[in-house]
Formats: sequence, C-alpha cells, structure tokens
Amino acid sequence: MKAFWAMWRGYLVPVLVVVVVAGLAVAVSYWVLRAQYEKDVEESVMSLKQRVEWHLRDLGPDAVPPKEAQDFLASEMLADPRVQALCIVDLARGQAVPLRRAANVPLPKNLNEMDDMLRADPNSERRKLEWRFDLRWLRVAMSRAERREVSEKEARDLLLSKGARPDMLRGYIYLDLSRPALEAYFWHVSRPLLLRVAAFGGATTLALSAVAVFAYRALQRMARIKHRAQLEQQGMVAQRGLTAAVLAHEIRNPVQALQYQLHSLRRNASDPERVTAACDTIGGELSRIGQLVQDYLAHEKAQTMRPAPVDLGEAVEALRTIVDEMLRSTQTGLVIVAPPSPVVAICDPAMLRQALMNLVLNAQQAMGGGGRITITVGRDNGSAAIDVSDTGPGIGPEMIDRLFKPFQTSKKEGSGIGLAMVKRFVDNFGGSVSVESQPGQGATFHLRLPLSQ
Amino acid sequence: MAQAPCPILLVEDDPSVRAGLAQLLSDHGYSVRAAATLGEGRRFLADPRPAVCLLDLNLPDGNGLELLREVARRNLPLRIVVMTAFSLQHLRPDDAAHVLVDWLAKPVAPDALLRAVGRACDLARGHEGGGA
Repeated sequence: MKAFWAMWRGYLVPVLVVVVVAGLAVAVSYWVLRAQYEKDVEESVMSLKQRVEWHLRDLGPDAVPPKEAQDFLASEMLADPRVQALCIVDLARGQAVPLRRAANVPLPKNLNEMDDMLRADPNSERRKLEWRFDLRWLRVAMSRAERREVSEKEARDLLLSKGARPDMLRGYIYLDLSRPALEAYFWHVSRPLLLRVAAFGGATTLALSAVAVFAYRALQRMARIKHRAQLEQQGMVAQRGLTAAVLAHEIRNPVQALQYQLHSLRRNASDPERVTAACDTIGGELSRIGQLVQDYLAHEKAQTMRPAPVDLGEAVEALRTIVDEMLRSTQTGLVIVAPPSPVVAICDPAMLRQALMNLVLNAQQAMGGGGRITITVGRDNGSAAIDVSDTGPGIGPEMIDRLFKPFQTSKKEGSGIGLAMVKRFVDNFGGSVSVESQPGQGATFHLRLPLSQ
Repeated sequence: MAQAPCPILLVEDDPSVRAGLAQLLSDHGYSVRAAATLGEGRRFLADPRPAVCLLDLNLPDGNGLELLREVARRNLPLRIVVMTAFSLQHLRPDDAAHVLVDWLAKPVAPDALLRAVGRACDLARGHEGGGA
C-alpha cells in the first residue's frame, strides 16, 4: 500500500496542482468576463436611452411626438435586435410611443404597471430610466424653430412659464432588452478581448502548472538525493565501525597468544627447545598482527577513495612544485606539455598525485641521474591521457610483462610497489596503464582515465 | 602443587591461543584437554570429567553460552571461566550464575587467567567435597 502510494504520489500531486491552477484560471476568467458583460449591458442601456432621448429632445416641452416621429423612433429602435419593447411614460400625459417587437412581449400601460413588472422580475433586462428636460437642447430646438439665437434665459423662462423647471423629471423611459441579443452583441463586440483572456488564461495555466510540476519533482528529487546521501553516510560509518571492531576482535587472539608465549619464555628460559618454539610462535603471531593492520589500512583506503573531476593539466603543474627539488638533486629535467584545452578526468586527486609521483620517481631512478622526463596531458580515444616518458635505458621485454605486479623490480632502490600502485589506481577508476619501450630509447607510460562529462 | 591435579577442559577455536593456553596451564600443573569447537567441548564433558572449563564464547559451531547453560541445567559438577573478545557483561546468564566463576575479556593476561582458574579449581573441589 505504501509503495503504491509512493508510486502514485509522483503523478497525483502534479495532476492535482494542474487541476487547481486550471480551476482558478477558469474562475478568474469567468469573473473578468462577467464584470465585462455587465458593464457592456449598462453601456447598451445608456446608449439606447440616449438614442431615445435624441428623438425626444427636439420636441418642445409640451409637444407630443407626432405619429411619424413615433414611427421613425419605432423603426429605428426595433432595428436594434437588443430592443424587445420600449415605451415612454410622460408624467404629464401618460403613456407614449408604445412599441414592441412581438405581441407576447408585455408592455406597461402606466407607471404603476411598469413598477409591478420590474418588481415581478428583477433579474430581467428591463429598465426604468429617468427622462428629464434638457435646457440646452430646448434652447437649440427653440433657436431652430424661431430661426434666431434663443438665449438660455429665454428657454428657461419658457419652461418656467409652463410650470416646469430645468432638469425637471419629465417622465420615464421603459426599456426591455433581449438577453440573447445582448449576449450576442457582447460576443460580437468583445470577441478579441475574450480570445485574449482565454489565450492568456490558458498560457498562464500551462506555465504555472509546468512550474508547479517542475518544482514538485525537483523537491522530490532533492529529498531522494538527500535521503540516499544520508543512507550512504550511515552505511559507510557502519561499515568502517564494523571493520574497526573486526580488527580489534581479530587482534585479541594473537595478542593473547603472544602473552602466553612470553610467559612461557620467562618460565622456561633455560630450555633451548622451548625458547626456540616460543620465539617461532611469537614471530608468527607478530606477522599475523602486521598483516591484520595492513589489511585494515588497505580496506580503509579503498573506503575513503573519493572520485571527483580533476583538471589533469592543473594536477601535473601542481606535481611540478612537489618533484622539482627531488629532480634537481639528480639534474633531471622535467618538461610538461599542456593540452590546448583543459582535460578533466574522474579520479581521486590525492591518488592521482601519488600515482604520478610514483611514475616520475620510477623514471628518475631508471635514468640514474641526468636525463629528461616529459609529461604530456591530452585526450586519446575519448579518454583523458597522461603520458610520462623518460630518456633512460628502457625496459626489456622480459620485464614489461611483470612490471605492474607488486614486488617486481630490477632496481636497487624501492620495494617495487610503486607501479603496482599506479595500476591499482587506474583500475579503480576504470582507466588503464600501459608501457611502451625500446631498449636504449627510454620508456613511455600511458595513463588513461575516464573523461568527466 | 600439593593438591591433586585439577582437570581442565579448554574450549577455544583459535589454534595459537589454544596451544598457548594449553602450554601455560600444563606448565602450571593442570591437566588440560583442548577442544576447538562447541561439539568437541560437549563430548569432552563426559569422561574423564573435567573440574573446570575455560570457555571461549565465539565458536565456529555456536555460542559458548549454550554449553554454559547446558552445564547449569544438567547440574554437572563443573565450574566455568568464560573468555570473550567482547566484554558483553549484559550477556552474563542469570540461570547459570552458580556454575560461572569468572568472565574474562580477551586478551586475557596469563596472571589473571591463572588466578581465575585457580579460584575455579578451589570452588570445584569444595563442591566435590560437599557432594561426597
């Protein structure tokens, strides 16, 4: 069950994130569109009202719209698909300009009916809009009728003489709008906006989802890596603790045996046979302890080997400062041929230095004094390459075969472990070492290590 | 040694230690039978019957504690000195306390070993005397 959950968690959480983000994007888009639509409806209402007023404003304060004016208004307003019904309730004269698109569209006969209809269906697109005198337009109309500039005062006086006031409420305009037509109109006008909102919303959703999924996977990966590193650390400590405990345990027995032999030696010092036997046992036990320590150290060393990217050019340059003094003592020259671009190999830097030192030391001892050692860093067949050549007497074919085996040496100095160590070093990192030599013409050691990617 | 020789059973798997111990004990007048495994040690319990057993715990065919418990259960007139590489004091078995004389941590110094074996032999003889 736990494994099942762990497997699906990797997919479930990103999917949930996408769903939540998409849901939010849809909700926000809907909210934006809704607000825009409502604003659009209000704008429709206002523009339609203005058009009605446009027809009405040319009429004087007491004029009833003549029949042709009413017909003209009706034909113009009904040309707009949004308009279902329209009427004007003049507070002074009652209903005027009743028009409707179809017989089944209700139309109020008076103000009370209008209020009832609005109350009965507050969600409909029915509006009761105020119709007021407009002094400016009255003045324009009077000027036109009298073919002279009528002053604002004259217009106001005319109004006041008829018992009216500027800005007085003259009546109400009733508008019934068709919702499908409004929506169609909205879609027609706002299509570019809608498409932009949809595209933006979609893109944002995708981008946010991608970021969320990526972040979640990255977090998961980080947690996994951390967990693995912790396990490795624990494992390593446990293993080292184990080997130390095993060493301690293994060493007790020979120590105990040694104590008994010493005890026996003291007691039987006069018996040459017993002394010889005790000494043999002591020697044997001491080498047993020595072997145990050596094995333990070798094991420890293998445990602490740390592969890392190493710039071979830098490593060889660093080596120069170490071996310079040593080479000067025998007048041996050192030439380093650096690569045109950095060559980075995967190995343990400390062990690489030791291996290179062994090779240099080996060359120096082979030449016996003077001579020249050349270290070339480069690439060879997809591997990092270090070649170490000397100008010594070369290596005979009989020696080449066992050159990299421990304790095989033709030299007077050294234990013959150096080249074996070089071999073990390259083997550890999946590399290789080979030697090329002609008697009398020096020798070249080819070191190959895996390149860092 | 004025007293009668105290027969000792030595159970130890490491040959050098076994040889050294046997040598040491016989040098000090004890008669020693050496066993390399738990099974061998169990066989040597019978005849001739040892008075003291010097027991290593970590044996190739089992834990020396098994032998210790067996001796206690069968109520054998045998005193046991345990030698162990790990000083696991908490392993001291309560049910075998009366046969267990000492618990020595390896490496055991010769003097300490001889002292422990000597005490075990005294106890074993006391037991035998009481039993007779």
